[in-house]
Amino acid sequence: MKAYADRAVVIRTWPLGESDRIVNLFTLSHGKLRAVAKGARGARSRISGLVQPTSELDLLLYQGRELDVIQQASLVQANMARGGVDPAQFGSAIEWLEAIDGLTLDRHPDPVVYDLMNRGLRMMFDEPSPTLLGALLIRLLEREGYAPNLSSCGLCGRTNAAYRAFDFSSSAPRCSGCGGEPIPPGVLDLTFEVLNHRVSGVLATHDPQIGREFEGFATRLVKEVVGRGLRSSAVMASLADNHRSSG
Amino acid sequence: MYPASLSKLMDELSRLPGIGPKSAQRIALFMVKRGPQDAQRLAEALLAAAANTKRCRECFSLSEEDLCGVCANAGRDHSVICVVEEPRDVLAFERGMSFRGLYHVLGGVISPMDGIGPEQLHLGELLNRLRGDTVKEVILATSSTIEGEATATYLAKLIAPAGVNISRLATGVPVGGDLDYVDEVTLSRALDGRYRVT
Repeated sequence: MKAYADRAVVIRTWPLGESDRIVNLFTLSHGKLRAVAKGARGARSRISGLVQPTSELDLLLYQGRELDVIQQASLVQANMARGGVDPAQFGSAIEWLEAIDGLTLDRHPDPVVYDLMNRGLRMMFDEPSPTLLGALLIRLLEREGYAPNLSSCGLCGRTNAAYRAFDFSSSAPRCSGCGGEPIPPGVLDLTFEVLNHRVSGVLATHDPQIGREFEGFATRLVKEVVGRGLRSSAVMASLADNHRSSG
Repeated sequence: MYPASLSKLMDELSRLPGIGPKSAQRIALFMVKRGPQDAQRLAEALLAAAANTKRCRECFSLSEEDLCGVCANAGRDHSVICVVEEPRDVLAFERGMSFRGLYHVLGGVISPMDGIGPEQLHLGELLNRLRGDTVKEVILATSSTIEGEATATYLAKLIAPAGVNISRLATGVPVGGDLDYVDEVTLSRALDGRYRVT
């Protein structure tokens, strides 16, 4: 059976040849994979409007020798792939998708990550919160087995201390006198709440400064796992700055 | 297997966009078959294009002079600037011969996954062109991809204080296209951008 149907979210695309696109997909049943959307850059393509980052699609794919080929696509949810995209929301969504791309393995289906990815994209559009991206990244790290261990100091093992520093290489907090990098107050509390599945309280935080600090902490944790920083983070920062100054 | 000079030619050709090893081999063998005169003509054309082509200092389109043919043309409408992503988009508009204004080439779109932010685009130069009373309208003609849309929204906010009219290129059903073959997102955008007939 070479043709198969699946539901997928488009992570990113690249131009291929004259009018095709390579599409990086996170599918529900086959995990992350790359497929070719033939003719998707042409004005008269039936799928050019659908094959956009963040859109969720029902796909019929055909197994190719190297890359699978998208044969049919229908829209489930456009998410950000619509007119009048807010640049800051767009930046957050792309950063979220880049983190998923970096933290997940090819062809390893995970319905929990799929659901988390989709809910995250919808919430970025429908219920934006300064702490949303940070919370999503912590949940994703936890799901992939990279959650920070907040139970004790990573060096001396002391528990219930007021941690003000963090060692990113061992992904553990440090109490005073045990070194580590200084981290903003409150960031570990938010992380602890997310890891204990009390996300609604975290999302109720409306302070943009706390949101940025939490997001910076989470993206740094992702960087340690992926081995490089998220490229979209720097762009996201400049988009958010402009959003703040124009707002 | 091939002589060293021919292998080198194939290697260089295969670096070009859209040319794989097979195509590079075919082109190289074709050039060798055609003889040195044709090769000389091609080499001269390549060198001349690479040496003489530069960016227009106003719009950043491609030109052999400091100012491109469009910017230097007093007969064009200097009150309208069409903002596009790449020089090839200028050529697409010029082929249509329906736009008589000026252009501004951004040099790409905001693409976070590629690390391309507003700083990498020719935005400051665009704002400079909007100073004074000459320009009355800016048409945002970035592509209708999610990156193009985000760039257009970003630009609209950036340009708004200049007090010029800002418009966005329409998106929707292609001329001659059958509605049944139009995807859901495009059709939805076409509905949003519908216009009154009477």
